[in-house]
Amino acid sequence: MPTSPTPDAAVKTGWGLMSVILASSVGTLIEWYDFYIYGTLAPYIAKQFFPAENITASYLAALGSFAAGFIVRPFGALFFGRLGDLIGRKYTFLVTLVLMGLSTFSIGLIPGYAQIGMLAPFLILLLRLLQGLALGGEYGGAATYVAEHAPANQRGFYTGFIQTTATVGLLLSIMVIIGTKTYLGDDAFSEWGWRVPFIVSAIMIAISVYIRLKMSESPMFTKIKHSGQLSVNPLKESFTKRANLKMVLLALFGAVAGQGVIWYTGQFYAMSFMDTICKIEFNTVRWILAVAIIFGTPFFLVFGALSDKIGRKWIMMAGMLLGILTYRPIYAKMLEISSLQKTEIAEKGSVGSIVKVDPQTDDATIVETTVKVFVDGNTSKEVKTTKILADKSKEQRMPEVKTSVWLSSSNWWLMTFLVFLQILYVTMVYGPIAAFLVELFPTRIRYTSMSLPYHIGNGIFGGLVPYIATFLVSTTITEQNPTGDPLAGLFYPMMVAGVCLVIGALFLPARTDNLHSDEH
Amino acid sequence: MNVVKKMSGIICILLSLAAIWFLFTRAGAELSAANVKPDKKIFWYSILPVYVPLMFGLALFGYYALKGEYDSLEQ
Repeated sequence: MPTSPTPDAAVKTGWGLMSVILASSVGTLIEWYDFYIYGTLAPYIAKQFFPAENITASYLAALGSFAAGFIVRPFGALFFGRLGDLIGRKYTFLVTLVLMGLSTFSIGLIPGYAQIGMLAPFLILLLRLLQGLALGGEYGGAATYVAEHAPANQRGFYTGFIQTTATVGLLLSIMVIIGTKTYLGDDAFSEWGWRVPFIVSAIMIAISVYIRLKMSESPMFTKIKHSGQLSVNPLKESFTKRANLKMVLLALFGAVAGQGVIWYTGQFYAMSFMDTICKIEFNTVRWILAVAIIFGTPFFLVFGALSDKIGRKWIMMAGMLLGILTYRPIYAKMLEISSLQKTEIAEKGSVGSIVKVDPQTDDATIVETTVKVFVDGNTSKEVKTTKILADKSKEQRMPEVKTSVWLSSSNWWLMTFLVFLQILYVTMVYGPIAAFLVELFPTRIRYTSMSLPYHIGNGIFGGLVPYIATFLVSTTITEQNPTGDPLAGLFYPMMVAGVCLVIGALFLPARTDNLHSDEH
Repeated sequence: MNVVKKMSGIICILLSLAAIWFLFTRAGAELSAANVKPDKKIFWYSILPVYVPLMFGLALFGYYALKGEYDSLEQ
């Protein structure tokens, strides 16, 4: 049975606090996992649910619904934030967990476009929106819950555990996807195996719900509830009172928007860039990201703890500045490492072709495979599939060409280091930000007030990085330059981080841990 | 410092207006072209309703900065 805290329940210490943190973090981690498997599996979902001859168009369609998941996050923040300030943190983020679990599990079960037609993409979009709503309510609750249990002078360190969950959730999603793909093989994974990571989520959600049911309410919330200080209308109080609205705007434009673009550039755009522009093989990309995340994750705690000592502001600003200064050279180096414009070792390469004829239609499919080995040890494999229709009156299709690059060992480690650097910036901006947001707002409207700027900054400014960057690259494509400028996409995160850095440096208080110290 | 804050408030207002103008002119040019690709339509119909209100938010932030609402925050 959950324990009922007394109104004067003190902040926890030692194992009591760690159990609170672990219990909250596991649920939040699973929610991030649920949310990110969709993004990671976007190309597979595109094939199954968004019919299009052009794979890029279907990929963009999937990214579009990926964006839909981000755009609704602020609405989830408003809806569940309000509930959290009215009825409590514990039950609200229990509801968000169940909603997320049901949506994710259902995505794994929806039949494809081939089976149920347009209903399939419609249902996927709907479930994706529900995922976004659930996540919108989850994070603010978890961060608030942990912060309200932690001692004020260690709030950055303890909320740092919650901050690891987004990245570790991404790591977990990558590991489950790699494991499933390796076990089932490429064809089975592409056909139906991609559903497994969605369905597996149900088991993890069940465990998290069990853990959360055993948790007690936040002591600070309980205290203001018993003293009759709860807000009657948290939405009105948060966004119509100038004193609070100005802090919401400051949090958004002075910290969270920049944090959001650094977070998504360092992880999701790096992954998308390696996939679609560097053409690195699917599993290799995931391993690079996974190893970089494993090395990077402890720094969330390091920068969280450091922010308790020297303040949150300058650590976050330094992360943004480093991103602005180094993104272009980092991504130029990533391109150079994976480039195929290098000297080839001709005797190690090979060319092969297979011709298949469909006995029913007499259509022929020619699959030509060209393997190239380069002097730096990289290997590329180009598979060109040409379909020749027997009926000459029909329009012949263009050949499909798929290129995959495998990196040499030294290039693999160099690429991992470049991604790790970006994740280090992520830990600088993201490690202290939960404590920063919690401290900016009073307990009675904290869940609502901190959730909205977080999900606009992280979800919209940040979540749309892969979408907008892909679009920006596509605008540079011309007949003379069919690949466009591959670095053009970086303009967006660098610009947002730049504006945020200036506003944050000028306006944010150096220390936020004493803004509402009378409450603690 | 407060003068710098007020000036940056004006810059934020101008920046937000410039961003709104850019978004509408760019979207207008791309969507009015012949044979607009579906991905471009999806892009602009997603971006405009999201970013235009956010730019108004930036302008409001600039207005508050100009009015000295943030001057009392300790550095």
